[in-house]
Amino acid sequence: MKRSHALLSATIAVAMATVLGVSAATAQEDPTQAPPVQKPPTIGERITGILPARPATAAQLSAKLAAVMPQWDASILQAPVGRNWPGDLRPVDAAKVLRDEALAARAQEAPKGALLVETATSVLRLDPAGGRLRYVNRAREPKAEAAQSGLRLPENAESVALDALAQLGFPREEIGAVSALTQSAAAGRAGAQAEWKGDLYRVISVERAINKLPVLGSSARIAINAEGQVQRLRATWPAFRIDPSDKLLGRDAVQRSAVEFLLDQNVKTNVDIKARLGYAPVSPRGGAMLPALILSVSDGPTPMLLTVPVVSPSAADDQ
Amino acid sequence: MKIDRKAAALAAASLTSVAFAALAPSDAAARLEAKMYAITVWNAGCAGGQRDAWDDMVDAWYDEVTNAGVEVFGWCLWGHCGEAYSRDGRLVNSTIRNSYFADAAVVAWGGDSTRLDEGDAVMIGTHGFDGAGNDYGGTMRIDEAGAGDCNMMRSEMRLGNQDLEFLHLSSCNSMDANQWGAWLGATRGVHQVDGFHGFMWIGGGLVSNYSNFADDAFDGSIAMAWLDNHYVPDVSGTDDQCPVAYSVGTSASDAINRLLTERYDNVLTDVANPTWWAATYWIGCDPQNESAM
Repeated sequence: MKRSHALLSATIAVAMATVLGVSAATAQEDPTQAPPVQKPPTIGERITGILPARPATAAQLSAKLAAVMPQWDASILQAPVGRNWPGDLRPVDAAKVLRDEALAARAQEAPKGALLVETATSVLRLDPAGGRLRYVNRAREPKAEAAQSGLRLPENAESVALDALAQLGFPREEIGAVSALTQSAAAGRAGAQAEWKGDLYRVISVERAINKLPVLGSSARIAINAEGQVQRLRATWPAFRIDPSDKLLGRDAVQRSAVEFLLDQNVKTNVDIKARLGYAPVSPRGGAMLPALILSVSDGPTPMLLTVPVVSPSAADDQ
Repeated sequence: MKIDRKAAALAAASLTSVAFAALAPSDAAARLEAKMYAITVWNAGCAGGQRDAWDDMVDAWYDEVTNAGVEVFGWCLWGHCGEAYSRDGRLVNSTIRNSYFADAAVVAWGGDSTRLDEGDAVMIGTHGFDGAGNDYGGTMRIDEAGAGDCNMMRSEMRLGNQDLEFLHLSSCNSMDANQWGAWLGATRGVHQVDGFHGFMWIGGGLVSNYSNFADDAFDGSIAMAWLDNHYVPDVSGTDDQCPVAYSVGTSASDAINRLLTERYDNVLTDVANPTWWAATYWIGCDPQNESAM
């Protein structure tokens, strides 16, 4: 499958079924399905559905996109091939970095190539193909009573998390925005506002940037507990790879693709569109990336995040 | 059956050739059940903008939570093996309507006992809104004849008096902070309800978040997996996507403990008469259509 086709299947090409007149209504695996009971919308409902805003036309959408689309050039294709860091990582080394001695002992027994190691309280999974690392230590969860009494979260959570990533082999040059979050909880009774609030974890969120552009679907989240330990770490960070021989598309072609999709989604005249450049995975499971226009489309009742490739496939894409 | 994943890892690394087709499947009858409902087109009586990626997102969760993978001689090579949920129902568009999500104990025309409340873990994907009286509402596809209409409402639900343990709402404003006290009234045995404070986003680039959530919720708590995988900072360029995980219990400690520890393969007892709710969220998360948390 051509790479662009794969991406389109996840974002844009789905709309073709509708364009071709194929009903998207499907029912599967529903043994209790009853015949549909339909009635035409009332006049009031028709008015309600029409009045808030009219469907946008292709010309209106083109104008909105033209106003927000950034410029791009061949430099977006100039990105070095990234390291497959999970592929270079042994579970025993990861367990040591995470200071999980029981898990390290388990991993020590595992034969070369083992990607999944588990103890009674910890799980470590490596997925080199998808660029994923998952670690959870359930013994490092706070007890509910302790949380209710108030946990004092560590001040150095960010350095603990970034040190761990560095020791795990994360490519430092790809680390973009880093933010320190607080995961909190609240509790209360029926109909009432919260009677208790408290913090559970400090979570360091790391976004990925290549050429100072965001990489959709790549991030790392590291939860640090009150003892300053890594309670869980979830990273999706596949080795970065794009095909520099991909042919760059012009603004008109990209704009047309976006307009076609937005029309299928019934966006209205008051739609708000923000656009930025970035990279997006060809497949949700990782692998090669494509430079793309990332559109944030705020159109009630549910907004959309769309990716429109700014390249057409090269011959190498079939490989 | 509890799977020894350590043994699975050893097997995966050492076995190079296995006649997978000859393996006996796990006992699906003993498994917990997963169901999904997703709407992508609103063309059967109820209004709503088309969202092509919605079923892809919910499917990603459904496929992963039911991913039994391969088990060899009691060793789980990949997937969730005996802990995977069974595929109990996948409904996309079609007849999705109000009564499927309403309880007959609340409204006479309710029919959730063979639909929403019949699964153990259920995900619903549809347009949502924060209705009057802190009442979450979700848009249906079919405007149902009789008393039902185009909106399923939290106030029409009684979750868990049939079977449901975990409800996941891929829907805007489904767990707004102002609704937390009210959601408790809809629970009659369900353990957790997960949703979003403010707007939730649709897109092909978000599909993997749903499979990752399902995958992670077997290893760590469902609540943490929901928060980790569905938080998207600056999704609009300025606003965030803000997931909220919600549980109920017989005390504050019980409800909080469920957030911290309950997994797809570590299911605690039902809460027939909950008196407390608990929610976990990201401080400062600032979505569209709601204030910052």
